[in-house]
Amino acid sequence: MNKNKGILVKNLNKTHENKWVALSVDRKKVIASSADLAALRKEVGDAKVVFTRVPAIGAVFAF
Amino acid sequence: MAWKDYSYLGFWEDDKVEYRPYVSVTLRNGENLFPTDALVDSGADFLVANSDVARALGINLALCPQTTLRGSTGSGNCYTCDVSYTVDGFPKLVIETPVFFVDNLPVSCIVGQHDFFSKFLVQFDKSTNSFKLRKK
Repeated sequence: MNKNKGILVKNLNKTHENKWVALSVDRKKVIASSADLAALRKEVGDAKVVFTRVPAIGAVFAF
Repeated sequence: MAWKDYSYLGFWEDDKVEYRPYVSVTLRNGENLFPTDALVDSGADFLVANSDVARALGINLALCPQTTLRGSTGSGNCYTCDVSYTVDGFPKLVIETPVFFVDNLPVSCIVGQHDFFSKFLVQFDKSTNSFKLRKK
Protein backbone atom coordinates (compact mmCIF):
# COMPACT_ATOMS: atom_id res chain seq x y z
CA MET A 1 0.00 0.00 0.00
CA ASN A 2 1.41 3.35 -1.05
CA LYS A 3 1.20 5.69 1.94
CA ASN A 4 3.01 8.54 0.24
CA LYS A 5 0.77 11.63 0.30
CA GLY A 6 3.42 13.96 -1.10
CA ILE A 7 2.71 15.94 -4.25
CA LEU A 8 5.10 15.34 -7.13
CA VAL A 9 4.92 18.27 -9.52
CA LYS A 10 4.52 16.97 -13.06
CA ASN A 11 6.80 18.50 -15.70
CA LEU A 12 9.16 19.93 -13.07
CA ASN A 13 12.73 18.98 -13.95
CA LYS A 14 16.38 20.02 -13.93
CA THR A 15 15.72 22.91 -16.31
CA HIS A 16 13.79 24.61 -13.50
CA GLU A 17 16.48 24.55 -10.80
CA ASN A 18 17.32 27.95 -9.32
CA LYS A 19 14.36 29.45 -11.18
CA TRP A 20 10.97 30.79 -10.20
CA VAL A 21 8.03 28.66 -11.25
CA ALA A 22 4.30 29.33 -11.26
CA LEU A 23 2.47 26.20 -10.13
CA SER A 24 -1.18 25.37 -10.58
CA VAL A 25 -3.12 25.94 -7.36
CA ASP A 26 -3.23 22.19 -6.70
CA ARG A 27 0.57 22.33 -7.20
CA LYS A 28 0.52 19.37 -9.57
CA LYS A 29 1.97 21.06 -12.65
CA VAL A 30 4.20 23.90 -13.76
CA ILE A 31 2.34 26.64 -15.62
CA ALA A 32 5.37 28.80 -16.46
CA SER A 33 8.92 29.48 -15.26
CA SER A 34 11.60 32.14 -15.41
CA ALA A 35 14.82 33.20 -13.73
CA ASP A 36 13.19 36.61 -13.34
CA LEU A 37 10.24 36.71 -10.94
CA ALA A 38 8.92 40.01 -12.30
CA ALA A 39 8.89 38.62 -15.85
CA LEU A 40 7.15 35.45 -14.66
CA ARG A 41 4.44 37.43 -12.87
CA LYS A 42 3.89 39.45 -16.02
CA GLU A 43 3.65 36.26 -18.09
CA VAL A 44 1.00 34.59 -15.89
CA GLY A 45 -1.00 37.80 -15.45
CA ASP A 46 -4.16 37.31 -13.41
CA ALA A 47 -4.10 33.51 -13.55
CA LYS A 48 -4.45 31.81 -10.17
CA VAL A 49 -1.07 30.26 -9.44
CA VAL A 50 1.32 29.67 -6.56
CA PHE A 51 4.86 30.94 -7.04
CA THR A 52 7.76 28.96 -5.77
CA ARG A 53 11.51 28.85 -6.26
CA VAL A 54 13.08 25.55 -7.20
CA PRO A 55 16.23 24.82 -5.19
CA ALA A 56 19.36 23.42 -6.80
CA ILE A 57 18.89 19.76 -7.61
CA GLY A 58 21.14 17.35 -5.75
CA ALA A 59 22.03 19.85 -3.04
CA VAL A 60 21.51 19.06 0.63
CA PHE A 61 19.84 21.87 2.56
CA ALA A 62 20.02 22.87 6.21
CA PHE A 63 18.32 26.21 6.64
CA MET B 1 -10.62 23.11 16.01
CA ALA B 2 -9.92 20.19 13.69
CA TRP B 3 -6.56 19.32 12.17
CA LYS B 4 -6.08 20.16 8.49
CA ASP B 5 -3.99 17.94 6.22
CA TYR B 6 -1.19 19.15 3.93
CA SER B 7 1.15 17.35 1.57
CA TYR B 8 4.89 17.70 1.23
CA LEU B 9 6.04 18.99 -2.16
CA GLY B 10 8.31 16.71 -4.19
CA PHE B 11 11.22 17.80 -6.35
CA TRP B 12 13.18 15.49 -8.61
CA GLU B 13 16.73 14.94 -7.35
CA ASP B 14 18.39 13.06 -10.20
CA ASP B 15 16.93 9.55 -9.89
CA LYS B 16 14.84 10.13 -6.77
CA VAL B 17 12.33 12.60 -5.40
CA GLU B 18 13.05 14.78 -2.38
CA TYR B 19 9.89 15.74 -0.51
CA ARG B 20 9.87 18.80 1.75
CA PRO B 21 7.13 20.40 3.89
CA TYR B 22 5.82 23.45 2.10
CA VAL B 23 2.59 25.29 2.82
CA SER B 24 0.87 27.77 0.51
CA VAL B 25 0.74 31.27 1.96
CA THR B 26 -0.30 34.66 0.62
CA LEU B 27 2.07 37.44 1.62
CA ARG B 28 0.64 40.95 1.80
CA ASN B 29 2.13 44.42 1.85
CA GLY B 30 -0.72 46.92 1.69
CA GLU B 31 -2.62 46.15 -1.52
CA ASN B 32 0.18 44.00 -2.94
CA LEU B 33 -0.36 40.25 -2.66
CA PHE B 34 2.06 37.43 -3.45
CA PRO B 35 0.86 33.78 -3.35
CA THR B 36 3.78 31.45 -2.73
CA ASP B 37 4.96 28.23 -1.16
CA ALA B 38 6.71 28.57 2.19
CA LEU B 39 9.05 25.97 3.63
CA VAL B 40 7.90 25.08 7.16
CA ASP B 41 11.12 25.29 9.19
CA SER B 42 11.06 24.86 12.96
CA GLY B 43 14.71 26.01 13.05
CA ALA B 44 13.94 29.49 11.74
CA ASP B 45 13.09 32.27 14.19
CA PHE B 46 10.99 34.38 11.83
CA LEU B 47 9.70 34.62 8.28
CA VAL B 48 12.65 34.77 5.84
CA ALA B 49 12.12 35.47 2.14
CA ASN B 50 14.09 35.79 -1.06
CA SER B 51 14.66 39.46 -1.85
CA ASP B 52 12.88 39.02 -5.22
CA VAL B 53 9.72 38.65 -3.14
CA ALA B 54 10.22 42.14 -1.68
CA ARG B 55 10.06 43.59 -5.17
CA ALA B 56 6.93 41.54 -5.93
CA LEU B 57 5.35 43.07 -2.82
CA GLY B 58 6.34 46.60 -3.80
CA ILE B 59 8.84 46.94 -0.97
CA ASN B 60 11.86 49.18 -1.56
CA LEU B 61 14.68 47.39 0.26
CA ALA B 62 16.82 50.53 0.21
CA LEU B 63 14.38 52.02 2.72
CA CYS B 64 14.43 48.98 5.04
CA PRO B 65 16.76 48.59 8.02
CA GLN B 66 19.68 46.26 7.40
CA THR B 67 20.67 43.52 9.82
CA THR B 68 22.53 40.21 9.94
CA LEU B 69 20.92 36.83 9.50
CA ARG B 70 22.71 33.79 10.84
CA GLY B 71 22.10 30.27 9.53
CA SER B 72 23.54 26.81 9.82
CA THR B 73 26.18 27.51 7.20
CA GLY B 74 27.12 31.12 7.89
CA SER B 75 25.75 34.62 8.10
CA GLY B 76 24.87 37.44 5.73
CA ASN B 77 23.22 40.80 5.38
CA CYS B 78 19.49 41.07 5.09
CA TYR B 79 16.78 43.73 5.09
CA THR B 80 13.80 43.70 7.39
CA CYS B 81 10.33 45.19 7.33
CA ASP B 82 6.82 44.24 8.41
CA VAL B 83 4.34 42.28 6.29
CA SER B 84 1.35 40.07 6.92
CA TYR B 85 0.33 36.71 5.54
CA THR B 86 -2.43 34.15 5.56
CA VAL B 87 -2.03 30.38 5.37
CA ASP B 88 -3.99 28.22 2.92
CA GLY B 89 -6.91 26.76 4.86
CA PHE B 90 -6.94 29.52 7.51
CA PRO B 91 -8.06 32.65 5.61
CA LYS B 92 -9.28 34.50 8.69
CA LEU B 93 -5.99 34.27 10.57
CA VAL B 94 -3.85 37.23 9.45
CA ILE B 95 -0.30 36.89 10.76
CA GLU B 96 1.54 40.19 11.23
CA THR B 97 5.29 39.66 11.30
CA PRO B 98 8.71 41.03 10.52
CA VAL B 99 10.21 39.50 7.40
CA PHE B 100 13.92 39.20 6.69
CA PHE B 101 14.79 39.49 2.99
CA VAL B 102 17.92 37.71 1.78
CA ASP B 103 19.52 37.68 -1.66
CA ASN B 104 19.83 34.24 -3.22
CA LEU B 105 17.69 32.35 -0.72
CA PRO B 106 17.25 28.96 -2.48
CA VAL B 107 13.52 28.93 -1.77
CA SER B 108 10.84 31.60 -1.98
CA CYS B 109 10.34 31.90 1.77
CA ILE B 110 10.57 30.11 5.09
CA VAL B 111 8.08 30.33 7.94
CA GLY B 112 9.47 29.98 11.45
CA GLN B 113 8.87 29.94 15.18
CA HIS B 114 7.56 33.41 16.01
CA ASP B 115 5.32 33.93 13.00
CA PHE B 116 4.10 30.38 12.29
CA PHE B 117 4.77 27.89 15.06
CA SER B 118 3.40 30.31 17.67
CA LYS B 119 0.05 30.25 15.82
CA PHE B 120 -0.22 26.59 14.83
CA LEU B 121 0.29 23.16 16.25
CA VAL B 122 2.27 21.28 13.59
CA GLN B 123 2.48 17.52 13.24
CA PHE B 124 4.99 16.29 10.65
CA ASP B 125 4.85 12.73 9.28
CA LYS B 126 7.82 12.03 7.03
CA SER B 127 6.67 8.42 6.55
CA THR B 128 3.71 9.69 4.49
CA ASN B 129 5.26 13.00 3.33
CA SER B 130 2.42 14.90 4.94
CA PHE B 131 1.76 17.20 7.88
CA LYS B 132 -1.16 18.54 9.83
CA LEU B 133 -1.93 22.02 11.13
CA ARG B 134 -4.27 23.12 13.87
CA LYS B 135 -4.76 26.68 14.99
CA LYS B 136 -3.76 27.23 18.64
